[in-house]
Amino acid sequence: MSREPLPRKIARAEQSSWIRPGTLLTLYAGRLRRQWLQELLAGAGIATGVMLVFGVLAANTSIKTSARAVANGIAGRAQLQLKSIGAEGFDARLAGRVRSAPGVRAAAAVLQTRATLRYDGRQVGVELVGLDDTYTRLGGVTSRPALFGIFNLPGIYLSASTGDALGIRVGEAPSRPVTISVRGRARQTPVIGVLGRSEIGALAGTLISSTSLPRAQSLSGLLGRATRILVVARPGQEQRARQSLEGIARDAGVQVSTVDDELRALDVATAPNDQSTTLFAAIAAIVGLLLTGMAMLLTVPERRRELARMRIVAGFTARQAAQVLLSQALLLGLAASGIGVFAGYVIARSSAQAPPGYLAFAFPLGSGVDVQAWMVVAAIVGGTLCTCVAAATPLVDLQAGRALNAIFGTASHPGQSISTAVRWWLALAAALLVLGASVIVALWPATTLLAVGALIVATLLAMPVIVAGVLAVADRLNRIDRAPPLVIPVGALRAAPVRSLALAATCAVAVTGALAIGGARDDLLNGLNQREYYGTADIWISQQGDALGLEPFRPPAGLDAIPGVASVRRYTGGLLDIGDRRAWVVAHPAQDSMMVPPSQVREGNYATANARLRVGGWVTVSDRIAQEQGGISPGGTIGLPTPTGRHRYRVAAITTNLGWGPGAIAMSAADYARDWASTAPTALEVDVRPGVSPTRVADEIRKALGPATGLEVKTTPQAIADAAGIVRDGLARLRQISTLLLIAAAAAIAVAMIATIRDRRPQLAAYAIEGWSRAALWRALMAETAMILLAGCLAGIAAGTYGHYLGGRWLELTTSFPAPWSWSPGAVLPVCALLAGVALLVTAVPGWFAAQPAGRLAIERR
Amino acid sequence: MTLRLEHVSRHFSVGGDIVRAVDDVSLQIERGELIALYGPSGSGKSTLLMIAAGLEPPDRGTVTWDGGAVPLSGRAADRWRRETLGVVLQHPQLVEGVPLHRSAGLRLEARGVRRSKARLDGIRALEDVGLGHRLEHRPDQLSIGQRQRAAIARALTTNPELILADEPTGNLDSHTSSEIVDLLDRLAHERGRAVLIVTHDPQLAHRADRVLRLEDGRLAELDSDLAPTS
Repeated sequence: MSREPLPRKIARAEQSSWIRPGTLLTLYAGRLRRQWLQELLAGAGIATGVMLVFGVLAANTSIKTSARAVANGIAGRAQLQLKSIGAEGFDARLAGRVRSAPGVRAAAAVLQTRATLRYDGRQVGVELVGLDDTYTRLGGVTSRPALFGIFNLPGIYLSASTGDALGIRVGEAPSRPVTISVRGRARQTPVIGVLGRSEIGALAGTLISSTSLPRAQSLSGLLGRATRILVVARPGQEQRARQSLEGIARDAGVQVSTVDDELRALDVATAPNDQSTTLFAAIAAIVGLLLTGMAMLLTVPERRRELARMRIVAGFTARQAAQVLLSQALLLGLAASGIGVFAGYVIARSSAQAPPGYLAFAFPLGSGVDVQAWMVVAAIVGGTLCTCVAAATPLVDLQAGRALNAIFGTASHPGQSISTAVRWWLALAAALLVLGASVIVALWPATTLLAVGALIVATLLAMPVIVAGVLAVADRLNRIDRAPPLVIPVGALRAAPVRSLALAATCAVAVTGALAIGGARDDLLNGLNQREYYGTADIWISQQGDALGLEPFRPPAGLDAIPGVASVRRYTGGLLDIGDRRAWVVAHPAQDSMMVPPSQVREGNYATANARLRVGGWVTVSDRIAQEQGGISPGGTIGLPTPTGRHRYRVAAITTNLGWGPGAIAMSAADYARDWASTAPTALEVDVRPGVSPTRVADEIRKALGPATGLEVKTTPQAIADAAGIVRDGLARLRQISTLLLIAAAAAIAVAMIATIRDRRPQLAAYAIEGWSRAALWRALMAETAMILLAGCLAGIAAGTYGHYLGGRWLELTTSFPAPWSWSPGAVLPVCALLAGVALLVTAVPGWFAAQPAGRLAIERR
Repeated sequence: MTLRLEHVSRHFSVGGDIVRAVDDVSLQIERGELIALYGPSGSGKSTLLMIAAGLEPPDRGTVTWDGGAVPLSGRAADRWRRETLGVVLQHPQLVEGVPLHRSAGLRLEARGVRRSKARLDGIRALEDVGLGHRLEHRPDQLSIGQRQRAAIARALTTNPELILADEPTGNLDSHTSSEIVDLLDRLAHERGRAVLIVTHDPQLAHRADRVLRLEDGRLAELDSDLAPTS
């Protein structure tokens, strides 16, 4: 029985039915003094789980919030805008007409285009923004005094993030100019300054460069052109201004929209990614909360004894004992969850510094993490609630006749044993749960998240049978004379079933989550066969840093004459706003071997579609666009806005989104050139003569283009690698979530194992007294950890594989991304190896020290 | 075979005060002798037991077994504990979660005996202490007395020359205590083991050949007939 002195205040506490908060704090302080390490380890486990929950929540919302800040930063007080349909822009003098239109108070022409900056061997892709001198009236960031220079000084401003990428710090004005490549032209231009958060707010975190409109026009070669006109309406006349703008837009072949439309387009663009990350963030959050609960569950045996002491020794009423127990869980949960939130913030901040590269091609995005109050509340409340629920399990001892169980039981943990019948009933319940979830998800795919939740619950229910199975195998092994002695670890695991199950379940849910997320991510990565897409040429030439081939440029002359070059074809790509969708237009020349990747055709015949695209007047569209346009199917028609007006095209096939979230449209380069009134290619496809090395020809082309070119020459394998990198970049959030989940789980298991080992020291001391060597006891501890990991990994692999299947199908259905099912041991083993490796490694050191306990521990155990 | 403690002292510093847990104690236990170490709580009995077992180093004095120093650490200590020493604790540390017959030979296994043989010998030791009918039971399915007997059986599997018992009847009712005392008595007087028992139990003290009273770390020898009665 406990020999520690009971706090004096307990006596007073006995006199009322509720214990006062001050007394509760005193009692907890006493517990912290006695059980500081146990509380510390439980707190670490809880914090790890909450870190995972919060890190995922924070990282998942950062893009759009920063985008809002950026959009508002550029647009200032403007509510409306005219924007060009193609990348060639429109006549900037249109701004004068807009200014005099009814309802318009102010308007400023803006030229926005992609550019690449180089300085000191570093390179970065940026959004070049040219602003005319009326822009100051819009109240955007350049109306601030620091930026008045835009309209006078010959050079460009860089945002802090851009400067950082080039190695130029805020406030610095480098003496040498930077090289800026726009639309295939490279120029030298001075940097006027690098602007930080204090000057331009959230824009400082974006990859952006600003200058005056004439300078931007000169750098891009788009003389006299603009891509947007930002408009401030007169007070109360917004509708009138819009009507005026629509009239102007019809004449000029441009589009009218509100400034907020940019954000809506970003919403649509990020929706597939958000949907995928939301599902997997939810999985990670479930895992995180489970980790939290498990960490607390490990302290339950000791808390049961504490509860019994309170009832028997100190004479607490059941209500008072429950109050003490739950108040301590509440305090621990709150403190550890607070630490977890901070750690999660640090992780989210470090992982969300840069927005996904593929989105940066279409939207000016910021970086950084936006912490919203609800996230903090959700993480702390969730973490604390799980802690309290797990800590509440000893309250069953408050039932009549059970108070003495925890103290006068045997050395094992009474009341925790799970009978064979119960184990099998739980396993049956798990099987039924999975079956039921599968049927429901087959009927209603939108319920996938619930199904994955059910799968995780089923995994937990199945754990007793799986752990028992692993222990049975170990029992059999132990009958073999030469097998390593497993009776000590098997006994330890059987003696504390709740602890063993909690540890194995922690491992299982982590493996399940990581495999489901990682597997779905791999499906997405494999979904777009880049080889198929880029295989239409041996060499690709495009604007520097423009991996998607979106920026038009003037093609250099004489490429045909370079030795080894067989043919040069003009490829065109661009972005087109259809409603809120910023779709990707892909226009291969008719001479290409394919017009749309065969593996991406979902409805319609590939060969027919290919032939029709070559003929012209036909397009393929992504299923999402087709659905939004009234459920178009192959053979139907679709109207598209173009710079030369609205044109109708026949639909040759329905495709996936070709890896571009908002959707894609494929047409022939000839149709594009005609309807967009532009012959400027966004990429050149070069075929080499038979037997000639594409690498050698690419070198020849680079030589011919000269060092001052703004173009980039890539062989097909290089283009494929770059494109794959962008796709990977787009899915980076999934990778971050699955890595974070694994790290959190490994840390949670390691912390739990350390707590477990510490708890076992008296038993280990008894073995040591019997003459078991330190090495033998250490091996027994490691075998115990390994058995837990084995049980967890086996359950996790089974559930994770099914979770991967569910997640992949759901992604394909809801996001329109191509995600063919792919599974390989090569994807599963690293997850298990990483988790088991980290857990074993972290357990090994404390295990080694615990394997030589002081004999006193065995004798003094009371 | 003699365990000899000569001028052994062990002091602890508690809150700046020096506590003399064991103060210049000398004693000797011969084969076939049952000695009871008797004294109030905090008198230093358990510390003296740990020093005798080589689990705690004395600040001063020497502990020898059969003329050689009792090893405190390393392989020599492991070997000494495996081959010579048998320790019985008040709270027996059995291998929880597995039936007795599975863990019965564990001590022999630690000594390098083949597992199948170790298990058979272990089962025999359990039968010797009257637990032959409980072989399939796990420790949590046994009474406290049966657990204690199982622990003694395990300690005996290696045939130790020296048996040190820390309050072996501390948690037992009088009937079960009596069974345990009989068992320890037989070990000393029929099997010729040297047995040192730390106890509060007057019944056990009366059965000892000698009773040593420890008070404030110092030793006084009593005749077993003069040992206090409850």
